[in-house]
Amino acid sequence: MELGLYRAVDRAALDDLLVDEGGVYHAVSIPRRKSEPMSSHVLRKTRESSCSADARYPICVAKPFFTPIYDLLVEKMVYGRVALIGDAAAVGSTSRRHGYCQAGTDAEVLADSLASHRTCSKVLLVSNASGCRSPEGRGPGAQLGEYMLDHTSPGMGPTTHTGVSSTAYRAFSSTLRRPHFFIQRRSFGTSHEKSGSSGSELARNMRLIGHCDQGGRPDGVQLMVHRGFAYVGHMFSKGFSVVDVRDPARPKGVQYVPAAQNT
Amino acid sequence: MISSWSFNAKDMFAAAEFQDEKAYYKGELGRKVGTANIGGRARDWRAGLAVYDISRGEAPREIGFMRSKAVASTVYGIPAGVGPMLRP
Repeated sequence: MELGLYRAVDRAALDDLLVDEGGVYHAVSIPRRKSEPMSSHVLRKTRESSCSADARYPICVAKPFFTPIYDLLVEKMVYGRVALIGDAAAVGSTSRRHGYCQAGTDAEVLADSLASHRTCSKVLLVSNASGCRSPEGRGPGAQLGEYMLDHTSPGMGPTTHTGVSSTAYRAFSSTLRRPHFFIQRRSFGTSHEKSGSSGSELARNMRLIGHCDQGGRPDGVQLMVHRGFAYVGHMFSKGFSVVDVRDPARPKGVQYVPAAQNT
Repeated sequence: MISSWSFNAKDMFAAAEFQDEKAYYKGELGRKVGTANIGGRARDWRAGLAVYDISRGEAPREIGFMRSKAVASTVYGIPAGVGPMLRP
């Protein structure tokens, strides 16, 4: 599970966020191993400068990985036969997956090939031969992924492919299974906040009139509502639930359709 | 009849192959999860597009399934989703 909090800040605020609790400035990012003892530090700073209830999200993450994403403003995007296009300028974080890393490294291989060969067909032939598959069956993207993992979380123990440690994942998954904890609910404010109060800025013009624990499966990905029934896809609970929302004040879980085994 | 769809995919979060994240970056993904050399072996997950009859909204009934040879089916990058379809 990846919980990302993205927020635009000015340079001064960013520089402040990049200073850990020990007063050390991290120019690139604050790795997880450093962020554990300073999570409260980041949280406090985030709250101080946040303009929304999103500031609560870091509470869910025991070891947040903090990394700045810089906007790159360039006047010139084409250099000879090489053009900078779209996500080519994106920063790859540790939580990105195999395909993302593969794409980044493939772009690097393609650039090298462009520099070395004149014809388009030769460029594509060489980059295809050398970029995607090594003799060991490992793509360069895999090497980049391993490097990023080793660089950012040494000694952290096994991690899931989503960038969260297995232990943290299990704990988070367990939390999600607990009824009455629902991250979507946080958008409306916590239970002690009265409807319509100013507890959450995201609650502006919204009023909580009903709540449902989705039959005890409160995790959800995609939500569709049709003819008074909400269909909620589950990523952790494996399957989807049907919630009767014909009476919005009294939503009621009426059906759970499990996915096939290991699906 | 009113139909709804559901995308099925291998549960990569719980897959034993990836409990160590480094395993995700080693080797070809297709070989690791068994899509590249599955041969005659049966899969232990289901990937593809399931279609449900939701004329009774409270009781969806699967009426069709289009199998995918891949690990997962996605639509615009959204895995394991649900949603209504137009009337067939």
